[in-house]
Order: sequence, then structure tokens, then C-alpha cells
Amino acid sequence: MATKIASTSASPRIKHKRAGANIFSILPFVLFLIAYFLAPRFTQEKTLTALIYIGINVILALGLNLLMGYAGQISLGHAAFFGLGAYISAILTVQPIGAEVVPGFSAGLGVIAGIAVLMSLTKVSGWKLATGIAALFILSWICRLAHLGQISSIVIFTTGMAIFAFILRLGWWKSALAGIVATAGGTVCARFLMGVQTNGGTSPWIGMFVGVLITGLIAYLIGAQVLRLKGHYLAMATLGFGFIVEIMFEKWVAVTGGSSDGICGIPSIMFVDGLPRPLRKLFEIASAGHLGPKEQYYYLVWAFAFLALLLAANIVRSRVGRAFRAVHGSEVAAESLGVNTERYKIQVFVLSAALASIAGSLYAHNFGVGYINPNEFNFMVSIQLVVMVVIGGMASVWGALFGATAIQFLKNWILTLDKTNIQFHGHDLALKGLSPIIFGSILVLVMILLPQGLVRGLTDIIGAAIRGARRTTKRSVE
Amino acid sequence: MDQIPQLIVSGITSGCIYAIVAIGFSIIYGGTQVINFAQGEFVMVGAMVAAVLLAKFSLALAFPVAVAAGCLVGVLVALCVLIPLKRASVITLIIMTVGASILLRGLAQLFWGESAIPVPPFTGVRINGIVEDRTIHIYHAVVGVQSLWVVGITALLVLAMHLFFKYTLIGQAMRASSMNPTGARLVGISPRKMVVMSFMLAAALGAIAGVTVSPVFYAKCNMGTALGLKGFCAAVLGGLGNFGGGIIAGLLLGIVEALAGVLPSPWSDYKDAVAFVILLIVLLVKPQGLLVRKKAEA
Repeated sequence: MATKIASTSASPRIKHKRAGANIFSILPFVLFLIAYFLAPRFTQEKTLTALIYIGINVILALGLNLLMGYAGQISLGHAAFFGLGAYISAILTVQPIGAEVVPGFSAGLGVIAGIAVLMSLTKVSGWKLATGIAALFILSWICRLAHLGQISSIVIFTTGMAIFAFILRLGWWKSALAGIVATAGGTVCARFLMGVQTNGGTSPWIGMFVGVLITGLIAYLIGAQVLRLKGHYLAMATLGFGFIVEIMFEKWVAVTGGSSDGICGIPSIMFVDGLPRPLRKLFEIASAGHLGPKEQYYYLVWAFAFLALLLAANIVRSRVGRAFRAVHGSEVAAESLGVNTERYKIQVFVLSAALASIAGSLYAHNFGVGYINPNEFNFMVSIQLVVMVVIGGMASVWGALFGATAIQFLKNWILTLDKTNIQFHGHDLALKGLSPIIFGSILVLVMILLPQGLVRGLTDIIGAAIRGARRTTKRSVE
Repeated sequence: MDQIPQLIVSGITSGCIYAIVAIGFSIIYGGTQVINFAQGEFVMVGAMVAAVLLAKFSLALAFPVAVAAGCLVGVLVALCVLIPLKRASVITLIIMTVGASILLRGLAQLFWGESAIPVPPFTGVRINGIVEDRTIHIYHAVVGVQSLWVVGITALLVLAMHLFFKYTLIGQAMRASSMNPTGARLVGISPRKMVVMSFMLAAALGAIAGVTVSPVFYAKCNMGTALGLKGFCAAVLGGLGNFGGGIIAGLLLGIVEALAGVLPSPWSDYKDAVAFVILLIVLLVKPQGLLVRKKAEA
């Protein structure tokens, strides 16, 4: 499968020598931009709502497609990153963490940062890493119990980690640095959270940024460990991670509001109002004066979607993108050609998590909703993301656009179906909860019939048919 | 601390189910190198069919019908997997079985509703029209007779599986096919048949587990996902393909999970996450399983 992808996507490049500024490679983007600016002028409110969700889905699908389609690493827990982005920016904007939770929370986050530093510097894994994590947690626990000041806790952390490094024969200054980062990170986080609390929330932009930062950090930690697994094991590990995060959203009521309350009153973002005058003028002209909050939000979401599209399209054609595909094709072969497979896998995992986090923030701040709860980030959502990628075709940037759109329409259709009742052998059969059936059958059928995805599969079939027709006409002429 | 014996009893009950699901994973993995994400749904199908039938018919009818339904579902999933197996990448197979599992859950939800269905215990007493389970007291713990049924049937199944794989011709053929598919083909064993057989066997085991445990946990259309994951957790802990390890790991997992309920208040809420945390740690630290020595390629 992988070789086929590589050859089909490589062939046009050979034809045009350098694809760089080719008119045909820019044209879709130009059309896309024109449609982007003019859409609010010609659409109704309902369509605009759908377009906003489609935009969010596009960002998610692009991220997951880079991971699954190009690098060939499956993730069945991607809704976790989506949810982390949504929750972090929602919490920071409207529901700041209570003062009693802040010290523990920030200490924990500091330790997480410390673990990341320890991992990236010393490359430990397995039992040694587990001991290192335990050491960091125990140290931070000691510091909290003893109510130590910053200086003394830095000293404790540094010496503690140095002793730990000495026992396990790791680089002592690297471990000590991890300790310092853990304390400093904890302090910065606590300061920031207290500041947020006194101000009663930050701006959504900061929320989004912090969301990407923390989600990226967590994705790095998880990815660096989990991506050593392959195939089924990787799928199960990501699935398990997704469930853990989902349970956390549900049960950590002090921070997330739990499953019954959720978080409400999340403000929207007035995107165009914050732009410099000339740009604002452009948007005003394009939308013909209807520049309500909904239109503004639409512009914001699709601006991000467009950036994600550009990013993905460029990455795919770059050296990094070729490395991703090499990893997908054969890790051993890629290694032997000098591709650092481990690093690329982690990179693409973090990138796709960061994109999911941005999508999550956009989802949380959606105009007219302003409410999230754990159910919106559960296992079914992860599956829907996979369906988007599968329908659009793995390893296809524009396919992600198609997949995201198709799923959104499907979801709307299911919502209308849910409200209808049909007669089945005299019983009233409520068509409630159809979505698992529909998504499940799509997955099975597409995998059986068109494992390359709907778009590529259909074009392949049509291409084969045309070639077949040509051959027969040629033969009849002869 | 008084509740610990009680928790251990309930842990053993759910641990038995995890063990059976783990054996199912091992059987299918051995036959096809596929992790069947629909494994938990087999348990769900067994439980749901039994629950629906037991409302009108006796256990003697409901039990075999539920197991047969499980087998049928197993064969269908096997056929889905078999069609693309030759040219399939791992991702394709994963998505395929995930799709099958969601489809099964959705169908169950459509036909039997979303709510949990209570199921009468196998050997209960009728009190005021409701069949209630008999209980016995063992060292501070109240043990439902149904839990004894679960343990007994699990033991019986494990024994039966052992004998099946060791002494029957089909069992030996399945083992041969999983050890060396090419060699097995040379002596006339059809690998396709073996794949279907292994799915059917795993599904039958799951369905039996589902029927037995439904009086304790109720039958619910979304019970499968968590059961499947926890069973997988047990299978990995014990080493995939290692029956004995899977059984021990399943029981341990059940007990540890139940004991997590005694943790102080904010932590006991995360009881459900225990299995997943254990799964992640095991996958990261020793993916070949804690209870095996040989090195597996993870």
C-alpha cells in the first residue's frame, strides 16, 4: 500500500521537474481563499454553523492524517488531545482552577515538565524512567509537605535528582536540570494560575496557546514512550490513553466540572475586530457588511484550517514528509537510509496533537455554544476522527477536507434521523443512536472495498475503467 | 478494612471474565496475528441475547441460543477480517475490527435499547415474584451463588480449552497453523478454516462468559468496550498467546481494580482508570508480558 502511495504522489513531481510555483499546485489554494472570503455573503446561518464545525474537523483530520496516513502510526485516542485543548482553554478563560487545587496542580505540571526534560536529555526508558518519574514525584511531595520556599526546594530537587542519577548511572547534570525545570515549571505555573484567578480568566488566545503548549508536552511524553510500540500494541496503548483522559474529564470535578455540569459560559472570539484596520476592511467588504459574531468565528476557524492545510501540504512535500512516508513503508529500511525514525514519529505525533488541541480550543469557544462536557471527547469521537481520515483517504491532504465535510453532513443527517420513528413489524422502532451503526459499517465497508479511501479508491476505479475502455477501443480499431 | 474480603470476592468474579476475554484474545492472536477489537462485544452479545431470552424462556434454552448467537457473530467478524487479510496492513485490520465492534454495539443498542437489563441468576429463589440470588457467607464476605457459577464455569472452560488444544485433532491443527502456517498448509490444514475456527471459538467463550456474568453485572449494550480493553490488558500482562498467564493476570487485574475502591475518597473515583494505567505501564515497560520469559516483538 505504502509503495503505491509513494509512487502515485511522486509521479507528477517528476513530470514538472520542480513543483514549487506551478500554477496547478497553487490553484486549489487560490480557489479555496476566494471561497473562504465570500462564503458568509452567500450562506445562511445554519450553513455557517455547519461550516464552522467542518473547519474544526478539517484541522483534526489533517493532524490525524499526517500521523496515520503519512507516518503510518495509528492513534485511537485522538479525542483526548482534542479534549485537552478544549478543556485547558475553557478552564483558563472562564473557570479558573480553585485556589486550593492550584499548588498540587502546578506541582504536578512542573513534575511533568521535569519528566519531559529528563526523557529528552538522558533517553532513559523502561524501569529507569519509571524510577525517575517516581523520584520526581516523591521530591515534589516532600517539598509540599514541608512547605519549603523556592530556593530550598530547588536545592532539594537538584540534590535529589543528582543522587538519583548517581544511583542509576545517568548523566548527573541532566537529571539535576530536570529537577530544576520541575521546580521552576511548578512555580511559573502556580504564579500564572494565581494571576488568572485574580483576573477572573485570561483571553481565549492565551488559553489556546497554553492549551497547545501543555497538550504538546503531554503528547511528547506519551508519544516518546508509546511510539516504540507497533501496530496493534500502539492502537491499544493510544486507546487506553484516550480512556484515561476521558475518565479524568469525568471524575476530576474540582477542575473540569465533571460530566453533569461541564463548563459553560465560554466566551467566543471576535476575530475580525482585533485585526488591524486594512485587514478588517477587507473582511467587511468580503462579507458585504454582515459581520456578526458568527461570521467572525467562521473566518477565524477557517483561517486556522487554511493554515493547517498549507502546513500539511508543505510538510508532505518536504524532506520531513518523505521521511514520514519512509517510516510508513518500512522502518528498518528508513533507519538504514539514515532516517531517525524515532524522532520523526514523535515529531508527527506532537504536531498532530497540537493541531487537535487548536481544534479543541476552537470547539470550546464556538459562538453560541460556549459549553463543553466530557461526552464530546469520548471514544466515539476518536473513532469518528479515524473515519474522517479513512473516508478521505489516508495520505491525502485534500482527502482530509473531503472526509471532514462528509462526516459533518453524516452527523447532521443522523441527528435528524434520531428524531424519527419507523414502524418495524408493528413495533415502534426509535432510530435513536444510529451513529455507531453508520460509522461502524462505513469503517468495515470502506476497509473491505476501498482500503485507499473513498476519493483515491474511486479515482483509481474510474482510471482503471478509462484505461480498460481505451484498450478495448484500440483493439477494435486494430 | 472490613470490606476487603467482599471486594476480593467481587474482584475475582470480574477477574474471571477478564481471564476468559484474555484467552479469546490469545486464541485469535495465535491463529491470525490479529488483535480482535471486537472481543468484548462477543461477551456483550452473549449477555444481551441471554437477557432477552431469559425474560420468557428457561435457562436451558437461553444458554445455548446465546452461545450460538455469539458463534455466529464471531464467524461474521472472521469473514470481514478474512476478505482483506491477504493484502491488509495492520492499520486496515485494526480499523476493520474496531468498525465491527462499533457496528455490533450499535445494532444491540438499536434492537435492545440503551438501558441495562437485569438478568435473573441461574439458581435463585423467588421472593415476591422477583428471582433473587442465594448467598452464602465465607469469612466476612457475602458471596452470591452466581459468583460461584462464574468461577466454576471459568474453571471448566479453561480445562476444556486445555484439553481441546492438546488432544483433539482440530485443536492440534489450530496450534500447528499458528506455529507455522506454511508447514500447516503443507500437511493439508486450511489456514482460512483455522482463522474462522479461532474466531468462532473465541466468540463462543466470550458469549458463555457473557451469559454467566449477566446476572451479576446486568446486560448492557455498551459493556463490551471496557470488558474488551480490560481483557486485552490481562492478555498483555500474561503475555499474548499464553493462556495460563492470561488467566492469572485476569484474576489479578480484577482483584486490584476492586481493591482500588478502598482508596481514600478522591482517588477511588478513578477506579475505572486503574486497568488502563496498568495496561499503559505494562505496554511501555515490558510489552512481551510480565508472566513470560521469551522476548516478543512488540
